[in-house]
Amino acid sequence: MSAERRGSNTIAINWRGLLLLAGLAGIWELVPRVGLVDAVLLPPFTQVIGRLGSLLLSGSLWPHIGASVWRVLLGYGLALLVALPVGLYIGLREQAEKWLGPLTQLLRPLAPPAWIPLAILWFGIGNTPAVFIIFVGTVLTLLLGTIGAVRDVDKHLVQGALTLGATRTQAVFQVVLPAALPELLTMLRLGLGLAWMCVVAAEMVAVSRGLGFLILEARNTFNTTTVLAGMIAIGLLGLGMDVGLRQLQRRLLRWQAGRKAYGVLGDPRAEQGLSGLA
Amino acid sequence: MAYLEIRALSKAYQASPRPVEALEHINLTVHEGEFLALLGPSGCGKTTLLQIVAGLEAPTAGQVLLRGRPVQGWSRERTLIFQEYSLFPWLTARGNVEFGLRLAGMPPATRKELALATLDRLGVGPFAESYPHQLSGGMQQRVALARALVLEPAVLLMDEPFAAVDAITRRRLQDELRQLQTTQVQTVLFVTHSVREALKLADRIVVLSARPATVRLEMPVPRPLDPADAAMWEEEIVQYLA
Repeated sequence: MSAERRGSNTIAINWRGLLLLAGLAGIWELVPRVGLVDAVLLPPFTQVIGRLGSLLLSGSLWPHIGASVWRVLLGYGLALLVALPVGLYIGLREQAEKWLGPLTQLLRPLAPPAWIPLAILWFGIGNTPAVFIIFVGTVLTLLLGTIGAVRDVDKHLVQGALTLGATRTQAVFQVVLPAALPELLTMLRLGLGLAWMCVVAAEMVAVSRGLGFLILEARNTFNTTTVLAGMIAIGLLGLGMDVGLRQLQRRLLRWQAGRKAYGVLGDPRAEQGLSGLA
Repeated sequence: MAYLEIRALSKAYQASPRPVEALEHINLTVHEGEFLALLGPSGCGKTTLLQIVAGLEAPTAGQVLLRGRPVQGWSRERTLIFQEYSLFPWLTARGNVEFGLRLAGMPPATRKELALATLDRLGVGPFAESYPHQLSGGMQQRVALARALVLEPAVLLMDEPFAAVDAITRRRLQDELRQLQTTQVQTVLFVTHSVREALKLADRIVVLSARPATVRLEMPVPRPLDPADAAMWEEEIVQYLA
């Protein structure tokens, strides 16, 4: 394997994004230090990072991380387990959307915290209601995403496969699914972000471990530094999982490599009459 | 006995306030090894007719018979080629050609050999391991043709297959298709809206009317076709299309 090929497999570091982050961290550091904001309400950036580091080193953060990751994986995994097959089934049928439309419109405005009272009534306290909240917070998005991905598959690909001798089942698994894969993987990344957004809400439900629990407990003791450290930990974990999924995306979609992705304003070269078609 | 027979075929779509008639009582026969071009104004139902022959749509009345037997649903005997974007983008050119062979249960080594030979025959052998997005529109259509021909279909159904490529490529693809079709004795049902393309390729031309489509004209194309005659035929057919 050539060096070039290997290079395309690693995600390039986004220097502009890091520069912006560094700038914001600098502002964050300065604002309490010069006394613009009370340091009790907004402790300086380095103090928060220091807290995060000491929590990690002392080992007291790991059980919280473990509990949150486990809940995210379980709730999100269950949501996928339901949404992927059901979405595939519905996406393949013309009439299904008419059945499902009003229901999804009704459920959509219900944010994850809205499910908390019900989750407690149904499942008591502990892990189950927390996992349930992540499940309900992601399943609808995943379901609609799967339906959309399946519906967007070019029908010529399916018809072509059928007249090449495919059965209906073969067409679904060997054509519809691979054709929908790019959109499904994008949805998978969006959904995982959503699951992390749900985890804090989920951990408001009387659990005794988890990053959301850590944050709420720190709030009760007016420990702003730990609140922010916990928030940064959630951000980093979400980012880490997204990087993992992006690697998977690259690996699975290698056949798309080289396809240029332009912004909404199109290929800038086209304006100068240098479009790829010319 | 007719090879492919379209018998009293009608198709109407449910719509409000009343159903739309797409095809009305179409009768056609195609002989074995014949190249039949279907001409008609845009939106007249040519594609619908092709879809029904492919078994992807059901007629409202009438039937399609292949070698005297009514067709039921789709089959690799009646392979369909579209205008564009019909290759599986996640498979290489060779993977695309092997698709039907794999479904038919052919062992990997045999189907690889056959796929490569077919790609070679269509002049895209060097691109066997390329993905569709790396190929030009003309080369993609050659691969699509290879993918269909490798299955030796009883009838090759083509829905304006060269409409999306540039004029020079189109002319070359037409020449090559005509040559392949005669050397292989391949039966072809070819939908186009170009009179010139039909005259160049077909043994016989069928002109359909505007919606609901009925057969307006059936004419054999004399071979070889004198260019002066071709111009005259073109004039005449265009009048039927109007």
